[in-house]
Amino acid sequence: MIDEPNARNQHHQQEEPEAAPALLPEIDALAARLTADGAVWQSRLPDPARVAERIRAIPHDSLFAASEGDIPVAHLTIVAQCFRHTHGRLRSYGVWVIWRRLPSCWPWWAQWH
Amino acid sequence: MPDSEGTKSFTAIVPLYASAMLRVAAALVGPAEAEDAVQEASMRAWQSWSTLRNVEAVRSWLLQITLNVCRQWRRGLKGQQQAHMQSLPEDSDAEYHHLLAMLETDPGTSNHAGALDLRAAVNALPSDLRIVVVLRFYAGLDATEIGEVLSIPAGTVRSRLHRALLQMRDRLLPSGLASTTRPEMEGRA
Repeated sequence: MIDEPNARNQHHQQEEPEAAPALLPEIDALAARLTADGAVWQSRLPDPARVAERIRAIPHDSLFAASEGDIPVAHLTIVAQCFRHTHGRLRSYGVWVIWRRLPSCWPWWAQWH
Repeated sequence: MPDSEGTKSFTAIVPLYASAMLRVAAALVGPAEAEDAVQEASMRAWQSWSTLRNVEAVRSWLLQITLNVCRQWRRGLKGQQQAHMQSLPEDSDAEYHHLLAMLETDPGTSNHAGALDLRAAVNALPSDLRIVVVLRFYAGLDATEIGEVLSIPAGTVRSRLHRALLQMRDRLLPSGLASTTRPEMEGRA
């Protein structure tokens, strides 16, 4: 990970104190308490490596979903609108283009026009 | 949908920011929902990946998407497909109120009482101050990043942080002590 928690902020604090130009001791201590509590809080979050793996899988999952017929919501919406406005018949070129772009592995009834 | 080059760049770049996205999401919707919020934000980033013009701005772009997903979840619109790159209004307390979850009351530290007091003081802040405190100390963003995510100047972020710390000090210190040391620094950037 290139963005380790608080790593950027430690550097930033050295250059440019964020809370105030001249912190009172109790304000400084309060900021330190918040920083420490924030570190404890961050340590209890889900594993970022697992989240990163889920992110890497998104392009693959999208393709897999399409190839398995798991229809994206956006496509379902388009198809529903097609049927609503054309009663099952495709009339406009724009709709025809959208229809043609549906995954080729969809069932025959979804491909037929 | 991105092409093969887009897929490569997405899988190479976006996971690098998983930690930052996770911390922001956890700060906004709570740790229990953070992972799913990041997944949703990443899905939207994937769908819009081909529209990203400046790769150097990808971090703030991803954090903005994460913030907007969290905002929609907080509003009860979880799962709906909406435009996700709109900015937050600068001074809308209602917007921030919708955005923020309360910090959980179980701090998980040996100093339970102190941490509870601290988080209660954070939760008692007005929403526009609380969000900068949460993003600064719990999500680990600096003032510039917070400004980019919230679409406000970094100076405004610093000013709000300062006001928030003053209010928290007044709440946490025994009455009488705080008012004797209050500085004349309430101005906004």
